[in-house]
Amino acid sequence: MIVHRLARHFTAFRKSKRSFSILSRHLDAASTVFASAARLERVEDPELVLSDAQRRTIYALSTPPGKAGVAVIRVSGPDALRVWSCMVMANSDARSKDKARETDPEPWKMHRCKIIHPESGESLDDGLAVFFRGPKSFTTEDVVEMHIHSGRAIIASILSALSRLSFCRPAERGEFTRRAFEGGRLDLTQVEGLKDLIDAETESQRKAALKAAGGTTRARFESMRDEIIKCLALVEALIDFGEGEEIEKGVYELARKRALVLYHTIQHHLSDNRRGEILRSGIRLAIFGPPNAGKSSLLNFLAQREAAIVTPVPGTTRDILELSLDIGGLPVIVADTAGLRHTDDVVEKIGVERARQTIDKSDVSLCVLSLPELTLSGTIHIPPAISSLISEDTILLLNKADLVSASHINAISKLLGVKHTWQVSLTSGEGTQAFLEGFGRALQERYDMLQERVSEIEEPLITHSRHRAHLESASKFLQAFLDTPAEDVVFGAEELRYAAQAIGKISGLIDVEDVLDAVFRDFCIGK
Amino acid sequence: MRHRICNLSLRRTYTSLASRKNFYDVCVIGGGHAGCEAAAGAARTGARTLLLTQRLDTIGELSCNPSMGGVGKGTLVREVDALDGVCGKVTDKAGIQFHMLNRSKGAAAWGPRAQVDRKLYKEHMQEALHSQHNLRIRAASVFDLVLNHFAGSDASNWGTVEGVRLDSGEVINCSQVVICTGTFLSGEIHIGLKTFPAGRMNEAPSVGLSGCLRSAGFQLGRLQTGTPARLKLDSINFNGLEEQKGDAFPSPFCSMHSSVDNANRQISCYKTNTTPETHQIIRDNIHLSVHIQETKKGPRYCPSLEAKVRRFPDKASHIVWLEPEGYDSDLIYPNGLSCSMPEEVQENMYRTIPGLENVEVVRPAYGVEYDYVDPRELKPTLETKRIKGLFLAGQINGTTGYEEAAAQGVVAGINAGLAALSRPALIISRVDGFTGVMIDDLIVKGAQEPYRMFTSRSEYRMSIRSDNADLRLTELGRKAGVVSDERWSRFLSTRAEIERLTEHLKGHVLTPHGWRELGFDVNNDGLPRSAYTLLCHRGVTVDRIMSTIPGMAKFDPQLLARVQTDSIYRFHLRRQQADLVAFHEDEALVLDPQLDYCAVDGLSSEVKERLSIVRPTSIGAAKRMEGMKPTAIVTLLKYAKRPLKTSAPEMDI
Repeated sequence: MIVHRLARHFTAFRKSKRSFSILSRHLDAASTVFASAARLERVEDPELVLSDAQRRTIYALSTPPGKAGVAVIRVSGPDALRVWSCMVMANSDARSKDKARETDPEPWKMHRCKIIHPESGESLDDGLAVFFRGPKSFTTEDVVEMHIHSGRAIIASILSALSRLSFCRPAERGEFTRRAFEGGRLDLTQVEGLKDLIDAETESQRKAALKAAGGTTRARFESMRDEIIKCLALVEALIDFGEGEEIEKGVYELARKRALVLYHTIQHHLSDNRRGEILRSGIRLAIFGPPNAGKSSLLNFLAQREAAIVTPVPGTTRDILELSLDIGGLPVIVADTAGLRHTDDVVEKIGVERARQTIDKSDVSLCVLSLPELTLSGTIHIPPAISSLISEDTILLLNKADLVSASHINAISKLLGVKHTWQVSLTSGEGTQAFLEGFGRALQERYDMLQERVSEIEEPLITHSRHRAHLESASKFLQAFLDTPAEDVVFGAEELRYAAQAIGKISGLIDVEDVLDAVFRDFCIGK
Repeated sequence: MRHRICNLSLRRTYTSLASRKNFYDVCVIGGGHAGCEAAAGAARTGARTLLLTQRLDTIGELSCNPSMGGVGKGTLVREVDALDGVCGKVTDKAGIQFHMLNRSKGAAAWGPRAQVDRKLYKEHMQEALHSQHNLRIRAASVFDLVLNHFAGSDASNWGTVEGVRLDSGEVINCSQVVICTGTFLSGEIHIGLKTFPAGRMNEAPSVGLSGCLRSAGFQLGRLQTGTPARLKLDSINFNGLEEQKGDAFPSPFCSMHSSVDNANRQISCYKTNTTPETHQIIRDNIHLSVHIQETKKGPRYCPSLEAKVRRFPDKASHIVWLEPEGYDSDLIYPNGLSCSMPEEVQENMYRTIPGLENVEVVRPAYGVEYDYVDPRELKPTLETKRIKGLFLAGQINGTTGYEEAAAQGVVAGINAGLAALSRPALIISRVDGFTGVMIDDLIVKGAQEPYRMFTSRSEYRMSIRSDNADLRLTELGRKAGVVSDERWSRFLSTRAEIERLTEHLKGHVLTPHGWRELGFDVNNDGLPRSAYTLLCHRGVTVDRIMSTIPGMAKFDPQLLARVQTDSIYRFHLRRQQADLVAFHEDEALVLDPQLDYCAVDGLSSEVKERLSIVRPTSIGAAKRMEGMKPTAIVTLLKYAKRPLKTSAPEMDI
């Protein structure tokens, strides 16, 4: 019976919708032109935020996050190949890039590749990728697996990169298994066997994590939940009781005001100086300075401290791509260390530009200056190209202290207006211990480590990247709600409902009863 | 005592089945909104149906407010109508004021509503039932059910229905029973601190049935509701009160009607409000009201005046609508004044309300308390899982409202008829209509307070609208054999006409310049648009399209309005379609209602207990249950069956 009815529904829908698709393609084109046009014409802005159900392609880390050497991120769904073309650059592609992109990767074969960020093109890891063409795959859909180095930072950066692709979303718990089951791929014993894997990220873990996150984080999620429920209650009250009942004027405006506050809260949480993410993926540190100031020495100094090395990721053959350090208990990543060598010539115009880009991409920048060179002429001289790159937050390291007699810390830091300056000799080791300790403390202060956030790094990695993806989705729907005029209250309610779904995935399911509770608490409705 | 009688009757049935006289397929108990639809629905399937009611003259009684429909509720009436039910047709005939709520908010929020003449409603309802083929109506009080209990079987398979026993001792044999007893199941009326057994004022409650259900193991709970006083029309001064008139062009409930009987003689309602003095009288006497003891759960959205004053102490006044009870009625229904204050306090209290300074109370407001069955006992057909052949509809399932009752009645009645004839069941799912949303909510989540329909309860508000009930349900009804030839042919022609009209509009494509020449304010972007696209632009009216697009004369403007709605909603419908696909995927994974959850490994005992109570029929239903965790759902996948592998739906999303 149900199957029979199913078929009925789909044919009915196909009938009514097929003709729309041609039209809407045409309209989509129109919409890009007139997205900012006056809202007189509803049709010109048909690009609704994609709902989770529309984003059929899902991704997740499918190996337990931990100490293993290799991690597998699995992507499944109709757009798996799109993910491949956005993020996988097979080494064979590199030689004939354009040509390779036109054809699908050879399926069921491991490809040596770079995993790249879909927007910046930045290389995130060197690894292997394999494409399983459906139905010969785990889920029977197209599947892409990325086999990568199992470092926290790498996994986090790749998950975060995936979340930038609007057509895919993090998998729900058990969703891969569910799809495999749907596709008839799994016999019952296999479902049983997979349970453990799914349990790696269970609801109880989510709750435990939320609890562990303690105080502020938890309170913040709960207040987001309360707020979205209140917004929905206002709008739903307007729809279900908007006439003949005691609903005051300005309810929609009130809902909008609240939604706007919530939107900003989420935005703040998402940006949040990237604190949460930084703690997971590492603080990106840019080191710059004039040639021969001692950047490489610093790098070697940091890298050679055995305890400091967390995961030195070996590159192909040439270079260290990324150096993960532990400074003051915080993960610090010196990015693009290969590039660092090329930026040596920072006085050159191109060099300055390059350095600026590196600094912009980083969370913290550290400038290494050579004391003898600064004080060469008797007075303190700083090349303008360098000073232009220095801001209040730049960490200043005055090197080669063994070659000068006096301390210049105060004078130089005053001159450049920076908060943190150390004077060391990387060759003699003078002052390096004080520098490391002070640098660690400065980072801790900056990233609130000494206060509430200690627990946050304990949170499961995936939970965190999931939170981020759901919050991003919620903020898109809230934005769409804010763009909806009052006369389209029903459309506004749709956007809010999707936003509530997204928030509910972090803070606990939001049920219609929660909304109705709020409606009847806030309004005297009923006759 | 009750239990013994019930058991006694059980034993007796083993011998009494020999005689086949006095035999029906379906017996419907109760002649309220649920009972009327159930009786008519069962009869439409072709089953021999008997409607049993205590009094013939109360069939089709509107026990509370003299109105039908509203936001969400109006959609339910249209859905009953789409299955060829009776309440929509009758409302169109008995309505004395029609108003489309939320008209400015778009089709998904529209709530058709009508004030109804009580007398006309009863007359037309009784006429409809008396002329219904296969349906007999009899005045009789049912004392209990004749059940065949399977010894040693579990709760999910307790026994079957064999008939009903009347007060007189007479047994009527039948294979299906639909209980639609409303507030009569161990009903008790409260006025002030007075309490006495009654289903409605001056009508005896039904006590035997409660005992019988209890002894079969059903969990019964108590709910309460109330109805305001009836005021004497002549004693009210309407001068200075805000008048509310009906719509100039009433929108009928029945898709077979192009207008309503009393379109040109609609009468008005009047708006007044309570005052601080009213509230003071309530506060002074609140200890004299049973309602306020709040031991039983009443509907939050239908609060008594006592509840409003207590919960919103800052509000100095509450709206009261004075609604006429009919053309030749001398009564006014004061909507908003529900309470259970003592009779002697009520009149003084009403006289503090503008317009009611000299009001006379004809019948005081009262509260009523009644038994209901935990609706998680039910299948989507509204048959109980426990007893084969026993269907429940209306307030007995924990709902409130005429429309909610009628929608359950039509589903229960049709399914009782289909079951009697061994035909496949009619299941209305959440994507088919509010009826499906309501039934699914009830059977999956139960009812902690009287359940009322709100549009916010549906995840599919874009497609479940009052304007398209026929497109959603009539075909389903026809397949179940309950839609008449007349309605079916009308439906087919409507549907074909909508398609033709849509094609016609899509075929008429002009450049922005072309549209501007016709006077439409179109963005000058050089992109050609069809008339269909244009329909969703603000300010483009049906009238303008009718008069400017060639070839429109042959189309009905009312259908153009429907096509306009399609055009406006198409993008949201496209997004919602992905949700529908996901819903269907979950619903297609069927779970056995008899599954022994205790034997399922990997479920917590709490989840096992919940599953054993609800016995979800699909993975989808299991997901919607309270307290279900994703891992539990994965565990259940092992037990899910797909009756047939369906080809994956094409998604255009």
